[in-house]
Amino acid sequence: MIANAAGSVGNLFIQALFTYKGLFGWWTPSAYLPQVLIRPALMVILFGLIGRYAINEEASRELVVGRVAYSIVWIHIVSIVQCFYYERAGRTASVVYSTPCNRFVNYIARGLLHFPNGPVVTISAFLGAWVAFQIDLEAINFGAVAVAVLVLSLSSIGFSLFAGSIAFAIRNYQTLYFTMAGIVLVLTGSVIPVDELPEVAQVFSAALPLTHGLEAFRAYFDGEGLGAYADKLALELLVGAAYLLVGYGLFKAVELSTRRSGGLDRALA
Amino acid sequence: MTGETPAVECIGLGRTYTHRSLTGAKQVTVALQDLSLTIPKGVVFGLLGPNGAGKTTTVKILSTLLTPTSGTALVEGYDVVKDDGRVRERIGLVLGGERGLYGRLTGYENLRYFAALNHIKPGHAKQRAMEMLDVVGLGERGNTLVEEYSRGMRQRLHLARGLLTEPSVVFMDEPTIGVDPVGAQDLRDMVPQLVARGMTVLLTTHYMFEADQLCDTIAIIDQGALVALGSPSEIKNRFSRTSVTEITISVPKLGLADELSRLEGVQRATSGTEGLFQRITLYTRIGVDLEASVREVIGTEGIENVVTREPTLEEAYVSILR
Repeated sequence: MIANAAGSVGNLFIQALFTYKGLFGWWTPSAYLPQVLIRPALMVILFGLIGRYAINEEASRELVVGRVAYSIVWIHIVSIVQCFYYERAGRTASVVYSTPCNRFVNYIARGLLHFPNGPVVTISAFLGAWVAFQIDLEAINFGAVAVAVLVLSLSSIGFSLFAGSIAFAIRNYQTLYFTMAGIVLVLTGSVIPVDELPEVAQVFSAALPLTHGLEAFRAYFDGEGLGAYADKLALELLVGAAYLLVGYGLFKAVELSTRRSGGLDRALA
Repeated sequence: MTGETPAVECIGLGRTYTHRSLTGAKQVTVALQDLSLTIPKGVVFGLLGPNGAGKTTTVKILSTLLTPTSGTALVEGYDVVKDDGRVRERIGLVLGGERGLYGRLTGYENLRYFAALNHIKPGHAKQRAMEMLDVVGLGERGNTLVEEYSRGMRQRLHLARGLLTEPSVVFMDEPTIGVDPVGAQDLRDMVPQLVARGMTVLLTTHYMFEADQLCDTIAIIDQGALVALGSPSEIKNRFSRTSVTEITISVPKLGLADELSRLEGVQRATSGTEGLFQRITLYTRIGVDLEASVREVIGTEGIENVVTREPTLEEAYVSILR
């Protein structure tokens, strides 16, 4: 029984490793360095500068913190969506579907090894902000921030797996990524405070990843203790888990639907 | 009859595709209609037919990638719709062309990934992947990225992937398409070995000589329906409308082919050389005996050989589909 469990975990890891290496288009030094390490830092600096010169120093700090947290969702959406889209574009999905693999394991494996990219982009974005704006480090509760980063990484992976299933269904990647990442940027409080959004939009905000975790993330940046915003982190995880499950339903639905329609190998949109 | 469960059984299998036009009108395309066939265990079964005949549709249904719109398909007694999981545990799918492999992974990594999808334990998967790379002659190139593989190497890897689980039924969908002659022959040479290991192979191909060389039984389908079924010899004898007589002459004569083409029953005559000899090939209706008339036209001197041979599978195939 233990051997079976070890074998299953081993196979989950193999699937995670090879869907990452085989389907994540940025897993090369020439793409990873600019996209995962440099871009998040530059984007944080850009938003910080906009805040500083267009509004004031405090707004600049708010935008920087919001943008650092947003980087986590951004990297996961863009990279995990690729791992679904290229499965369809490369016409490998039919071979996967012809195997007896556990679909849920195969689905979550597509997100597993992307997890470290969350902390990686956070560090990169934070370093960019620190170099550009000399952020006061003394107030930050680093332990709590680290926990928040891990939680945000988990919830954004859940959301990105959901987005990946949509990409798999609609056979499109860039339009979807721009749309989803744009919605998260605008509605979760990373740029515009949620309470300043129209009421209808605030309802959507509550159902998006990052919204609740970002509240905690900002508070930990200001030195709050971990427990003070633990409920927000729990809510963040819940939102991510809900997206993960809905995304799995969609992933299975695509399999069933393409078996009926014969559209699995159809030309891409 | 042994009463043994067949490897594959199709009973009245049908598949239609429904599309909507720009105006919303429903359009139905029939890909497969009332296909019934039984493939016993341990044989190579060829599925032939022109483009769009329904070969790939059949393979997709049998490999659980497509549901039939009518009829039933069973693999080793398991229904491809109701028992799809059990069917997947028993089959190997070998595709032709560019589909189905990860270019950014090495050949070895592709096999490790598919081993994981097939629940092969990691320890055993390592050994099995190396073993299969050796079997298909890619042992030396297992650590090369698949995007750097030639077409022939990709086909070998497809075969290795399809055989990874030692399946009892292997579906090979045009496995030699686009592969150079030597590579294609190497792949063909592997098929009898699979049968010797107890596997059943369903092969779709456009290459008639390939089917003739490999298959115990052939089904020819056209427009989704079965039009011929039998061993290659039976199909050739039963369906060919042409008999072929080959004459070898030691003293070549100009215009001889034209002269012979005017004989009663001859449909067509061609002339060629074979070393110092002239080779004339006469295509006649089945049952026409030409030997006496040929000897009368040419004379007894100079004729080295007159042979009436079995028509090729390609000739039979063309006769069936025309």
